Amino acid sequence: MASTIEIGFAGIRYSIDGVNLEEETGPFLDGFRDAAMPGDTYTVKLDRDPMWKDREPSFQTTPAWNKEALKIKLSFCDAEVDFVKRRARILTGNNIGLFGLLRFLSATHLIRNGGFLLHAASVLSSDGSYVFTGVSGSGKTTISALAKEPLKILTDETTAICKNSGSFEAHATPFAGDMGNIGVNAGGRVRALFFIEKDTHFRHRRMERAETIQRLFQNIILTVADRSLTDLLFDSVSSFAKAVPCFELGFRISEDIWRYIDGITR
Amino acid sequence: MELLDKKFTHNEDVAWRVIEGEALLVSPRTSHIFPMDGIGTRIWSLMDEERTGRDIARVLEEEYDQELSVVESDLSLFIDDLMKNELVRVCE
Repeated sequence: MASTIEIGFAGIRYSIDGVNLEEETGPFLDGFRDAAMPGDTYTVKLDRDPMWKDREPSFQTTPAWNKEALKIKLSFCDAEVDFVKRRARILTGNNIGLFGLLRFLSATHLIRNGGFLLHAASVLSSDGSYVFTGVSGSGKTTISALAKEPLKILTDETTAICKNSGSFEAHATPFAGDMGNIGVNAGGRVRALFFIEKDTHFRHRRMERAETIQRLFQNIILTVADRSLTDLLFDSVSSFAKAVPCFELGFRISEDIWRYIDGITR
Repeated sequence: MELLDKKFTHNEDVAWRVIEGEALLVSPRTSHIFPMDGIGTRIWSLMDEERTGRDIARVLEEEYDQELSVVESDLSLFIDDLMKNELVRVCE
């Protein structure tokens, strides 16, 4: 059945027109349907091809790109996106891969606007947000689970870093990890970023800017193999590493972690 | 012609910045990141389409006070590595 769903997060809104959208998304977008949330709105038209066959999955795709619009072939769809008019037309099969599509659009939009999409958990406190990044198994979900009221989990898997009036904010996304969408659809100025790993004790080290940039790149979702976008990303990451204190953080699994973090960032 | 007799240029697909005196290269095609130390950054800056590998080796010999034969040997390996990772290409 044809329908339109409207969602928003990280200052981006999507109005998606297509068939069986509710069936595919289930409850996973429920926390992101706040119609009042402001943002740049993308109008997405999804058409289905019943003869569609998925291609080999690929995380990196070379598009036809003119810095404002692109045509791209992902494993699950053909997409034409105009990032200035904020319109997208998608041709896909029965499994539309809506989350993959949203991840691709969001990652590209954020880079074009001074931010980026990061494999990271993030937590909101009364004085801002804390971001925890690392490879799979490093403890993103573990740290999220240790956040108790009044702390609020934004996400345990994918954080949108947005530039807003010269400062950087961490925002929730619907691209959830093991905990599902347990976060709040909100954001806050980034107080600190941590490259995490589980350990038997707490330890931290303030990181130099060059090392921070290098390690951030390893955790950023860069979906388009394009030099101009990578240049923009370089500038965003470089500004972020200059503006935000970044640390290497080893932690043992204990709620004491929040007192430890408070001590580091105070 | 040996490798060091050739001239080199950066692969135009590679994004790079010098941060705190050290170059950081990103290949958008592979998403791989290549951090360079001080001497690597200097070599990267000398690959300007004009200098041959031997020209670069002579600059390094002077700046780092090393024997030319040692510099050429190390440089050859370094350039080979850059080319394998498609970070530089030989000028036609």
